[in-house]
Amino acid sequence: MNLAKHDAETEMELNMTSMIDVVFLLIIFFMIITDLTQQDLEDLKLPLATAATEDKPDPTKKRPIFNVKHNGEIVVSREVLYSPEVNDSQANPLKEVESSLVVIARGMPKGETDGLPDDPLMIRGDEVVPFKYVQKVMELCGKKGIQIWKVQLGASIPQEN
Amino acid sequence: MSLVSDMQNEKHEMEMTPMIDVTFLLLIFFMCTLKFKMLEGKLTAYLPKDAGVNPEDTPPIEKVQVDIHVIDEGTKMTADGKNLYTDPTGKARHSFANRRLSYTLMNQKFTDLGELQKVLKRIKDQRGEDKAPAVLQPFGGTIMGDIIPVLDAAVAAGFEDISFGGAFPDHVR
Repeated sequence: MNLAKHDAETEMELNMTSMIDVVFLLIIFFMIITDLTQQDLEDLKLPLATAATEDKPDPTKKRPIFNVKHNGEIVVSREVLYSPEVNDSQANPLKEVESSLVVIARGMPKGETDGLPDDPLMIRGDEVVPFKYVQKVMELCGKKGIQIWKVQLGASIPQEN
Repeated sequence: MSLVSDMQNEKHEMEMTPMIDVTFLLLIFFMCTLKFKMLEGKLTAYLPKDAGVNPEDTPPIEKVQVDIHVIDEGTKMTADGKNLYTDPTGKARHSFANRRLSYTLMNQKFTDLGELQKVLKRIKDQRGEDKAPAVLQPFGGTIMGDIIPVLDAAVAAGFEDISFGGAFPDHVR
């Protein structure tokens, strides 16, 4: 009798620790996942700049980031929009980049006085990429129908220690 | 009776192991993310606004233009900079050793970025409050790693309005 009663009581108690463990693990997992998808950052070696301001993106806001890899490939949201090897033989090699910029510019809030897109475009260029590839993006920014005139250039801040 | 007292004893004891587990996990997680976040920064610059968009005439402001030329491309090295670059496909990362550049500012030629920054700072201090715009004009052969330090120097000298070369002539090849 005594034993049976004891068993019944222990069954009622729920062990919370393992559940909390799993919950924390899930929270961490989703934090990492959302961070990666929202930043759209390619693995690049950015040039050093001491005067660069620390990049603190608003996690709720999606911002356009153009990555220019060391071989000249232009990557947006993990999608290669331009590659010198593949696209340079085509008639309009930057077609995809341009159409993506048009979409981005359309989605940006417009300035009151001039009606031009008011948000900056983030360009992350690798340290060794020839500047002409970054310039291609900049040139397209000035085109009619895009006219993005603010850019932020990605750089890495040298660590003090 | 003895069973009840045993159970009461168990309740008072706290199980520490899982809590320590979770704490360590959180600690490691925040250490990782902090390291990633610290590295990334940005420099703000402007592109030339199309002249046709602003019909009203704006008085021309004297711009501080820095031309960036490559004197010596340097030797192409592997990414770690220890060996000569030999990858026949050309797809692997590379770096440059002994690269030399020249910066031209108001007909003055500089080869040292520190000196250029000093002169830029002097110009900025002379002009004082008025928004003196600076223009960076990269020429043929420049790479991203050549341009960013100049932009960085201009920002450090106090310039706020920095733009990239006018009509993008076919300088960069």
